[in-house]
Amino acid sequence: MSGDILSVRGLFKSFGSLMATFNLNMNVRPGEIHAIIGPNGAGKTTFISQLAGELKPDSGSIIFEGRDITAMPIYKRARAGLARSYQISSVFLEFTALMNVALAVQAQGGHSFRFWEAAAASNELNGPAKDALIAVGLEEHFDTPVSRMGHGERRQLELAMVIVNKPKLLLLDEPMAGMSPKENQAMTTLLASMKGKTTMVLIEHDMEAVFALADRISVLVYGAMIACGTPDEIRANKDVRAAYLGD
Amino acid sequence: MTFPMILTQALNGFQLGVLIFLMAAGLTLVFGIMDFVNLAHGSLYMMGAYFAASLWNVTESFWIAAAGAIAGGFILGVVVQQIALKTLFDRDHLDQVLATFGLILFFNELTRMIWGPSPYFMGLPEGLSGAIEFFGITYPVYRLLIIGVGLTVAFVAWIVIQKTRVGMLIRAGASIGWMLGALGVNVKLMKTLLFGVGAALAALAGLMAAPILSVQSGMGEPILILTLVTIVIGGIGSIRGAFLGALIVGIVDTLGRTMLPLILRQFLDRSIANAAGPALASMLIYFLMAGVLAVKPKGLFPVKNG
Amino acid sequence: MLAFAILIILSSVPVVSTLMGQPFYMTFFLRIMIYALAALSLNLILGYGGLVGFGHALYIGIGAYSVGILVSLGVTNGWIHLSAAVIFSLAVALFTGAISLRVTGIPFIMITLAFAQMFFFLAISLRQFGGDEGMTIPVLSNFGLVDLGRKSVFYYAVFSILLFYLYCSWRLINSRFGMVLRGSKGNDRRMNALGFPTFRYRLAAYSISAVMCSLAGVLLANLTGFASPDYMAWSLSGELIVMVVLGGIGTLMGPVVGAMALMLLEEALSLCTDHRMIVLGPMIVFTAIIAKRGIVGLFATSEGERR
Repeated sequence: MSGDILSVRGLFKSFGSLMATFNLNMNVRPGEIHAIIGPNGAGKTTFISQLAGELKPDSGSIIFEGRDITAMPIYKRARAGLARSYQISSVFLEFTALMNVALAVQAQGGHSFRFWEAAAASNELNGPAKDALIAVGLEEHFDTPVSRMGHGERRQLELAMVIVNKPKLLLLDEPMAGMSPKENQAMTTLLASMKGKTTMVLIEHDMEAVFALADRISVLVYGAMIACGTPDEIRANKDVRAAYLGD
Repeated sequence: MTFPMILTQALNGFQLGVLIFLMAAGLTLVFGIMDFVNLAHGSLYMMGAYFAASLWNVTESFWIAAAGAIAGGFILGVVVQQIALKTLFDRDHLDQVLATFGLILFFNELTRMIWGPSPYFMGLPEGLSGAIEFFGITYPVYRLLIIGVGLTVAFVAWIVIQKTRVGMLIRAGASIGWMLGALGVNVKLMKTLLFGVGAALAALAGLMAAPILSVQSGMGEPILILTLVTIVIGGIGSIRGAFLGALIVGIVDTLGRTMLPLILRQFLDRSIANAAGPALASMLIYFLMAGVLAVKPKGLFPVKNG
Repeated sequence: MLAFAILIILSSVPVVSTLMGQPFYMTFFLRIMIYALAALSLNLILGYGGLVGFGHALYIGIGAYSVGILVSLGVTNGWIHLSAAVIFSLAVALFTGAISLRVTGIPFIMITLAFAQMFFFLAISLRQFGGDEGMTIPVLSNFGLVDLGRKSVFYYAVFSILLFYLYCSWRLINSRFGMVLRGSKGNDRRMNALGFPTFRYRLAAYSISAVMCSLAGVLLANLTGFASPDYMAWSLSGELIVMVVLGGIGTLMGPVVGAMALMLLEEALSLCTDHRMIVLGPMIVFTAIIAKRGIVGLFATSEGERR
């Protein structure tokens, strides 16, 4: 459908005899929060890896803003505005929180063949980085080495790194994973505040958060989308309840 | 360039290839399954040669020397692994490189101390020192034996890997090593045994090479490097890749050394051909490696990691 | 601080050795500094970049042979020697790097080793340039005002270069380029996900490192008056790695400390025994097993040392 920011058609991916993605179709509208839910082993991470470019689909296509990005290398997708956060925080442990986010800013600001000036002294990098850290609630931790940050704080940092460049599409892989109820609430509030401004694909197990945030929900079972609709529609859907009971 | 010459050199290449295969088989499993860089593999080869030569010098029996070298290699491998390398299995590759580099230095010096710096001689029993005539060439029996042993090992390895439960674990280990522990396999024991078997194979290669190459300190490194090139070409973790890669490397290297200078002499000035020939020949397998990698970065038969 | 102590010691060697009438010390410490330069260049990609390359001695060899071959052809201008070393090492680095850097981990180690061996055999087969015996270099590189023939001049020239390398390394590590390199070491996947095409930055770092190392080769040829395939031997590549790790991975002074420590150790051991590797080998194994942050790490006071 034109106007969609992301359109996935007929995606297939198998590992040997294991079919991880089976004729997956999905579309994401600009400005929406589109959640993906499904039982464990349904192929959510495999799907996100294909969206991000880490895995190459066997067949099918991924169209982002009208461009076919199925074969596009990872770094180009990032520069095209597709940002991805990881289920297990993938941050730079030797650096401080500020350095981490500044690095994210640096990634999209032209080339990095600058050999002389200290990156840490650059306002061009630090300014937006600080803003992002403040937005996620880490304003006290600019100079804390990540190795000394707790799990919840690292999840916040993870988010700061992907929102700082104002991506066109944000792929969030279980952002609430391992968070305490308080942290969870803070994250949900934060994501809610970004509604409408940033398009998001949200993979989550936390049903409360999903139903609170999502505009639409797609349900992934055995590598294929069995349903797609508003939260109310999904709640009422018999197939979904059959496949997903208790999760 | 006559047919008998080509046949002889091809057989020599084949023989070098199986020696490399014996080294590569053990090493590629260690690299692939245990993700462990063992640069000291060449030292195990060297120790196998020294064990064999010493036993032969004492007992004059080739068979005792052979059995002793293989057993000694296995034991040495397990001992080295338990004492020095066990803690490094889960560590950085850098630490592994460093440690096994230290081991190379240690073993090279050790052999110098025990057996002296001059080459150590190992002879052959009567039955193995002759030559056979076929297809117009006269070829040493012993080299045919090496080829025979190598092919036998390759065959046994193929059977073990394809047809037995142990082999299945090895193949599974290459792709999902981390899950084996969860499946109840005694991973520690398996790793120790694999390392020991790899060491025994290296020692076997060393003992087979001892009568025809010079047994001396540092003999392990040149063949180690050929082995590394082989594994890169064949694909890490793949026994099939090790076998085919070894044959390719053995034949290309041997034929290249003999034929390249001759070929060059057809086109170039004699003195240039004589100078450039050996130079290019010794670099040939590296160009081959670069070529393979440019097209297939993971080697010819990569083990797929699901 | 350790760094200043070492630099002060190094700067005073010529004075001390002349006073003591032992010119040997100057030569010895010159050698240490030259290896320190090579180790510094390796630290760039190994310590900060996380690339375990086992073929760095290759570039020392290229530097040395640039001098040797040019001198034998009648060219004695040091600046030409230097330019040749830079051009050749850059060419080789771009070629071998483009191939090696497409893989990581174990394959990378093996491929860098194999390429270094390739050139090692090439050097051995160059019979008109000494073959496996190496070639003597009868004349020193002529750098105009800086007369390498006078030991103390040579010494302070190398010392200045060492300081220059340290300063440049420091700037490089903290620059945007350096941040990309350091980030790729810890988490290459994330770097790509952020939008960095890490391959080209690694290739650049590898090339810079190679060129820096070849300069050490040029100096070594002038110190020893010799160029030999041994300068490219894999064992020397291994020793460079030992220097970097022993000194302290990813620290600025680490390589210098490591070079000094290793060479002093080797010298001390050879005074005691003919078989120093029997001791040194296990010591290296031991270092690999226990010493996490090297000698510099032992002296580091605060935890969040941002070097």
